[in-house]
Amino acid sequence: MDSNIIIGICNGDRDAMYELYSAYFERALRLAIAITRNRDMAQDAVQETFIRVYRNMHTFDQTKRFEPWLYKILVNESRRLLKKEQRLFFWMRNDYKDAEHIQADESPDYEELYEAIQSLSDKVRLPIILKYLQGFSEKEIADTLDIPLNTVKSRLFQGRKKLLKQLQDLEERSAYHA
Amino acid sequence: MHKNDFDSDIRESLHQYTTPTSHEKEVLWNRIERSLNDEKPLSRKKSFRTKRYPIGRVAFGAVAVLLISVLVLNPSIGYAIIDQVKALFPAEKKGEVELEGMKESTDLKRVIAPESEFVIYYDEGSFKRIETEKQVKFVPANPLPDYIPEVSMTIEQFPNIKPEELAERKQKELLKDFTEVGEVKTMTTPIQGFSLFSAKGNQWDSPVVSLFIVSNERSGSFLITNRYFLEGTEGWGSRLENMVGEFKVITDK
Repeated sequence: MDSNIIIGICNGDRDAMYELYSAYFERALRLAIAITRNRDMAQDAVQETFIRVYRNMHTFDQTKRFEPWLYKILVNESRRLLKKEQRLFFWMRNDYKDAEHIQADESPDYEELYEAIQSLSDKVRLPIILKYLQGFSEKEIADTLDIPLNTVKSRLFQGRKKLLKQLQDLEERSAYHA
Repeated sequence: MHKNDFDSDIRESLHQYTTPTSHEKEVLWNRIERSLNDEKPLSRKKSFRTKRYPIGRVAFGAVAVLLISVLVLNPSIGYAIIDQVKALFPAEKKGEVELEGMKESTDLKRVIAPESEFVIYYDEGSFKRIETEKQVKFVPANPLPDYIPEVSMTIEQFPNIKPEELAERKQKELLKDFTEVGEVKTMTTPIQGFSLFSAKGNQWDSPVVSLFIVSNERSGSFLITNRYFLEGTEGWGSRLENMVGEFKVITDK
């Protein structure tokens, strides 16, 4: 992250803020959608995250990388909103299958895999999302989720194993019913 | 399935179902900008966060322990020493806690408990101290609704039980009642000793008990028990763990 943008934001420069927003909007929204499983909630999480970034940029330690700081705020905000909804016993509609949001030229074959990912417990789901959607290293996942590196490795391993098992079970069931 | 193919499929499925629509970027920016316009101007006085220097804290703690040792061994020494101890541990100080990824400044209040042989600072904006016969206990300053599980910190001394033994004993006790009981871990932060984490379930309101066991520098231990609930891990849990870092043993060595 360009230090001029950071200094600009600290000084209340709205153009600098828009520059930062433009650079990270897409990855931030993708991550929030994957975590919350709900587009409206994801938008709320992204909105709140960038507001927090603007308000708290002066607390950001410039000797460290910006991305982990940003995504840590976003992950926590997404989880906070998700838990808030669960607490209120409102199960939000999972709108990830809404055709409007799926790229037209993509094959629908990934639906089962996406559903399998989203059916995982958060313990393994979040590391999987951060690795495969954001391209995070295991160290970055550990820093973002505040868990030890070995735990990340173990959860990624468990996550992939569970996904494979689920997909194999699905294939077997399909073959049986064919 | 080939590993690389599977990795690529996972990546592709996540991308396919999380694509932003063409108008979302501007719609969200407008919402963000409206919120920012409603805010007060940013303070220019704030500077970038500076790093803490643990060596300084360790040295400070060592001097403090030494002085308090003198006080405990020689209660007749008088108020001059007490004053020095108080000078080392100001009655109030500023602290910092990380909540859900964000740093928050806190006002900390000193508790010197020579009879219990420790000193601790607590966040007086969030907690209040409750007097009990054998424990020092902190609970939320504003009572929580009834449906929220207990949030508290208790500090007890076990003069004749070594830390390792106490940790093992507590782990066995927790296994009777809690569904998830972790391993006893050696810790160096927030303090030197042992830690043990346990939870009863995986719902938002599942009770959590987090134990910190520290040597009393003689033949016994201090047990710090933090109670909160799963969803409160990054809130109440962080506040309580931050307080654990403010705990210092008064030793007579």
